[in-house]
Amino acid sequence: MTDDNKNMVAAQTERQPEPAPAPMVAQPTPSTAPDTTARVTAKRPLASSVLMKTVVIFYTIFLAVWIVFAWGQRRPLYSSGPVLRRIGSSYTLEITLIREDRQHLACASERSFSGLHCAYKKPGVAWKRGETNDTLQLRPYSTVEGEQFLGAGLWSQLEAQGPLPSYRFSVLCTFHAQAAVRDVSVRWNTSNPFGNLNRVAFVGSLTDCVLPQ
Amino acid sequence: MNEPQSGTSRPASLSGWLAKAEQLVFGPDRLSRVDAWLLLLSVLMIAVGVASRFWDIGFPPRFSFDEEHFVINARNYVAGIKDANDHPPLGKLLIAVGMLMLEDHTVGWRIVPLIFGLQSIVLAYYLGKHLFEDPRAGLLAALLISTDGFFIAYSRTALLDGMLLSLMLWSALAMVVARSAWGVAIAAVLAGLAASVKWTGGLMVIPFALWIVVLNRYPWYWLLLLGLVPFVHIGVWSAALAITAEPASVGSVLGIMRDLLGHHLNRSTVTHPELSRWYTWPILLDPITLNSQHEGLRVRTSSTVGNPLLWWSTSLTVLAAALAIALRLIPITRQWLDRHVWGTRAGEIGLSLRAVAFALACYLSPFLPWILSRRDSYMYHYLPMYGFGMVLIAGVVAWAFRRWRRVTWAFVIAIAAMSLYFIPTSSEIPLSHRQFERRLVFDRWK
Repeated sequence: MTDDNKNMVAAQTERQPEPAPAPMVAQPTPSTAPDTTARVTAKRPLASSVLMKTVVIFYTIFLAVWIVFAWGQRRPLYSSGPVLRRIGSSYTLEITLIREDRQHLACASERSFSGLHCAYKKPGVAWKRGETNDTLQLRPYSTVEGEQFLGAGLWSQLEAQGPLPSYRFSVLCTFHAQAAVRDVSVRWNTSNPFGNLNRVAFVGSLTDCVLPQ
Repeated sequence: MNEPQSGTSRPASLSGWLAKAEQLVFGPDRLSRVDAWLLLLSVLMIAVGVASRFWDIGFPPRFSFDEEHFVINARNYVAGIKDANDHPPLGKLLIAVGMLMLEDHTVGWRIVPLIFGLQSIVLAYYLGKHLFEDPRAGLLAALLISTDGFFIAYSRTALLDGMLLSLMLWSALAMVVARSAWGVAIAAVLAGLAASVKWTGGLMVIPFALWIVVLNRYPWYWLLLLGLVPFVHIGVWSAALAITAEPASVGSVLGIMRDLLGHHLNRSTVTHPELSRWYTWPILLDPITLNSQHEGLRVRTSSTVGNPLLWWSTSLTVLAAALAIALRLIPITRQWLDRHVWGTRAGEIGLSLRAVAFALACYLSPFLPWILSRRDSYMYHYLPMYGFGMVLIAGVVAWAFRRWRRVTWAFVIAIAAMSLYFIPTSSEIPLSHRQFERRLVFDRWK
């Protein structure tokens, strides 16, 4: 028998009484079933101390990780938005586009959001005949991260920045979230019908849009 | 006269505090029985595993794999907007906590899964140690979970399964150390929290029932405490509904749960390139790639391949353990097994049948939904099973250390070396295309 085995055997004999021997546990000498309640309560402090240790360690990890990232320099490197996304907040978005999106992208909803509205009340039913004010007209957009939202005011700002690329490009804008919607129909391409967005999307205006050079 | 007394009492007090701190972390009489070399190897490997979880965790600076769903869910909770729950709410609420801690960016999304990923290492240590009553099993379990790429990948992404595993390990530990009805109640509450991340967590009641009734002969009425699991689950869900100002009554929660169950059961016709059936998971046939990005001549990838040697060894250990338990039912083989494996002979402590049976039950139970339904399934559903597989193999290897020390050392070192070799494929460390191809050798792994 190795020293290690001796230690293990000694350690086992020193341990507190085990819970009732289970029928599946092989034992060299069978024993009659003892009073299980008395035995199990004998070890109660062990359970609380082990679980308490895991809770203390969890909070220690929690605080340590938080401190590492909160005071570290990593945040600006990966910030996709300097401010938490919530209604009433403003943050920078990178929107992916092609120049034909001005015609392609449209939404349909009977709701108005502080004056902002879709081009259509229902698919095929215009909001108001002749209404083309880009700063009020909402369109669905997708960020480079895949986040979808309804924004107004993008194209009038891009027009002022010269001809748009013929390939897919992205623009940086400040988005001012004013509301959130779920039940809204969107169209991503004029050759496709309107479909339900099927997710919650923020609604708001876009300002300070720039086309990165 | 007083000064010398105070001078002598101060060091005694300090050493007392040090002893208390040591006891708090390691427990009494534990480390003295563990090989110093194994301890050193474990500490080094765990340090590597922790570092690989932290390293450039903000990468990629966009959604990785299914993060889009859960981050948007979390954003809805932060904004107080009604959320469509494809899973119970707790995991998404936890991701939202991270976003509130660090704002809405990739590190903010991933910080809470990282915390739970680190906690899983701690829990694996305690579970291995107390289940097999051997600190060596605990160290090995922590070593394996810390350095296997499957767990690393899920500690670095805002996905639910890493948090699910952590809570399942926590509940299993609570049950193993439970010595009273209160202990069982705590285990049931933790299982309820696990079920509130994904329903798979609720399946912990199966190994718990086995532990209470068969493996320990605890009073049968302790089983009733497992009824806390649905209460906790409904409570968490109700709280989440209240956050988004929706009807939060028990009836409302049950209605949502019924709809969600229907939704999952109807997902039997989904076609996806990364679909895999449950019986392919133990052989590592179709792992998931959470992220793969080419940067010039370099590839940065987050794969669930993990450590193939450990993966297949775990599957073989599970098979052997199941067989050894089954063969114990036959009188002839029972005698041999009790002499050579389970029993105590010539002063040697046998492998604990109770521990193996519990770990095996924890491993097998989460397979049930995938065996019984046709719902679309993916490799990541195997994460909880694999986590308990780590605890099982750790217990068996710790036992093997006492029988075949040199061979077991060779195995442990091979596992550690293989983990180091594969870690870059799960922690998005840049690799050349050649290095990438050498590691992920099969087309189905890429």
